[in-house]
Amino acid sequence: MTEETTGGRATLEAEGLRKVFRDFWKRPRTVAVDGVSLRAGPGEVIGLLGPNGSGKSTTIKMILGLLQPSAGRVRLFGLDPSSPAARARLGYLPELSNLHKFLTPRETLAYYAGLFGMPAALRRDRTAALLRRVGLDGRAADRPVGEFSKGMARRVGLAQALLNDPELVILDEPTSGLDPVGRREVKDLVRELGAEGRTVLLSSHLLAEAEDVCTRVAILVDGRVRAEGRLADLLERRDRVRFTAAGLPDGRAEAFRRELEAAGATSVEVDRPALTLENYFLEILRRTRAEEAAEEAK
Amino acid sequence: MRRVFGAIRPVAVSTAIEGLQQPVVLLLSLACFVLVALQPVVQLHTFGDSARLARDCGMGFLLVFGVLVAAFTAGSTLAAEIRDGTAATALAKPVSRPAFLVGKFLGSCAVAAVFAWCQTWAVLFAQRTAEAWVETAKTAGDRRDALCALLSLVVPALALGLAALVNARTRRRFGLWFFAFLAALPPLAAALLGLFARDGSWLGLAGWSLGLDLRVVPLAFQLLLLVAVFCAIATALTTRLATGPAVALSFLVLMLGFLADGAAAGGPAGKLLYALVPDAQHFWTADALARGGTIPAAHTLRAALYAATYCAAVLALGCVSFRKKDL
Ligand SMILES: Nc1ncnc2c1ncn2[C@@H]1O[C@H](COP(=O)(O)OP(=O)(O)OP(=O)(O)O)[C@@H](O)[C@H]1O
Ligand SMILES: [Mg+2]
Repeated sequence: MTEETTGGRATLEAEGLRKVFRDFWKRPRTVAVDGVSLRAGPGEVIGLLGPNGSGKSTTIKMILGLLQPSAGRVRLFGLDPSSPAARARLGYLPELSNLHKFLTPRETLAYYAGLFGMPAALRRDRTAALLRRVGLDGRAADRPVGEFSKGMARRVGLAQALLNDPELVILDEPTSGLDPVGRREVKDLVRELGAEGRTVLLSSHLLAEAEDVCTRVAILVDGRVRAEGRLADLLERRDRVRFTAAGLPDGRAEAFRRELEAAGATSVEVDRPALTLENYFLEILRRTRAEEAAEEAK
Repeated sequence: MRRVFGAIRPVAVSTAIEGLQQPVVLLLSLACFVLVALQPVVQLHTFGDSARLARDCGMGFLLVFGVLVAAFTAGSTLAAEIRDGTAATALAKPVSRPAFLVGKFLGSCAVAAVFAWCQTWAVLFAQRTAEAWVETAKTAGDRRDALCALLSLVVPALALGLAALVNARTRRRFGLWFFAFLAALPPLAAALLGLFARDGSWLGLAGWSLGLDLRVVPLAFQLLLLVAVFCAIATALTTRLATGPAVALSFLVLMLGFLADGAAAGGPAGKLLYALVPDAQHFWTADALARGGTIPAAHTLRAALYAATYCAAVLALGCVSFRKKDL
């Protein structure tokens, strides 16, 4: 991405977005989003966090031009979000995968590629590469999506969102319904997308997950942004220092604690860091696979 | 420009494929084909006008079932896409809303066209099956063409069987292949039928004659135009309404369309009604075929232009309604 294509501007700019859902008589029913502003540039991974019903999906749909904001303004690549030129450069994964049940994953991707006006050869290459990337390149690629489990449909949705090699990727709860391996893959994918200089906006309930991949987060409660900023800034505890060490003989830890306290440190804690359950689960899975492979080799 | 309108084709194709795969569309087509083909066999007291009765009946079935097929395609496809969120996924791609709407409309028209093609053959066969005066060296009298009746039942049965075979062997889609066979087999059956005279005697290749009354083809085409108008109304209404109310309303408009002719002669209210609803009389010209008449090509052309204009106007309104719709 060059400076020229983004014009030095943010990929995504949203200002003062507000959405009031109205009933049949146009009376206001819910204020779903109230004064949300967001900005994101190339290489940034923005997390939209918040409890159920806090307005994450509504914000995302306004950014995409699928919902008409009651107030506020959105620019994608400096363009109106409903302009085909802006949409050609973004990828969107909806909250519920929203796929045609009668199409197979291969046909689904072919259909969306058709909407992008992709030439046939490119379409075939992209489809094959993406199905491999989301782990659906076997038999499953030719079964109707309607028969799929939630996680499998999610993978098709993800592939669909990446079809046009988008510069801006908007993912609404990308890991919902995925197994731990799938979650990890999505996390790696999002990190990769960010590292490639793309802009990613994702919503999630899973804080640990957002923590792993986001460069910035916005916390939404009742339709308003209550906290926003770089993750490192938000989470860093400036009044604390942590050491981690391997190979320390038993009993020495206690000595260090006394030494630290003598130097004036307060509330010193010494403990053994635990694996996260995710890492533990993946480790078990990896070991089982390795054993199976070894057995097969025999 | 290409970006804006290029999406019409993929949307239309996927809509058509989805429509043709719906079990209810298959059942309606099968039922219509068999009913049309069988009705001359069960007719009694036709006062020597059996072929005409077969034709009028067949056209009636074609219209009623065609509207039902359109209700299950045009009336449901956009509503379902909005409800299930697939419209949101598609419209986050570089697809303009008008292109999406027009694609949906054309897709349902394509389903209606496949339906009309198959049913037109059914009517052609029914006319040949119907009783007619046959004189040979040995006998003279009213006779039905038994071979034609048999063939017009074999065609749908064979289409079902072949589609089942294709599906079992290759896992390809049953519904689509059923329609492929139901569309492809009747011309073959007609070619075969041409080898025989109406009384079943062998004519051979040298004596081959089509033996079908093709005057119904423009008639069927006009009914297809009327179904297309219905599709346009239903598609436009589903931008705001759920399937049920949209189909009911479209049906009402169509019914009013049959009355519009008379209403136009009435007061200003009648004239307004006539201006708003499609004039269905343009599309129902079966009576012109009585006593050997034909339908002038100019009339068919006029009907096509009228239908195209009406559809364009209705779809334009649909686009306005869809433009700011929350998805
Ligand atoms: N079409 C709609 N009509 C009326 N109210 C709506 C509509 N869509 C959303 N809302 C309301 O807007 C609010 C925000 O909904 P939204 O779907 O944006 O939340 P969310 O943060 O994505 O929640 P979740 O985490 O459960 O996905 C909710 O109170 C919801 O009831
Ligand atoms: Mg949501």
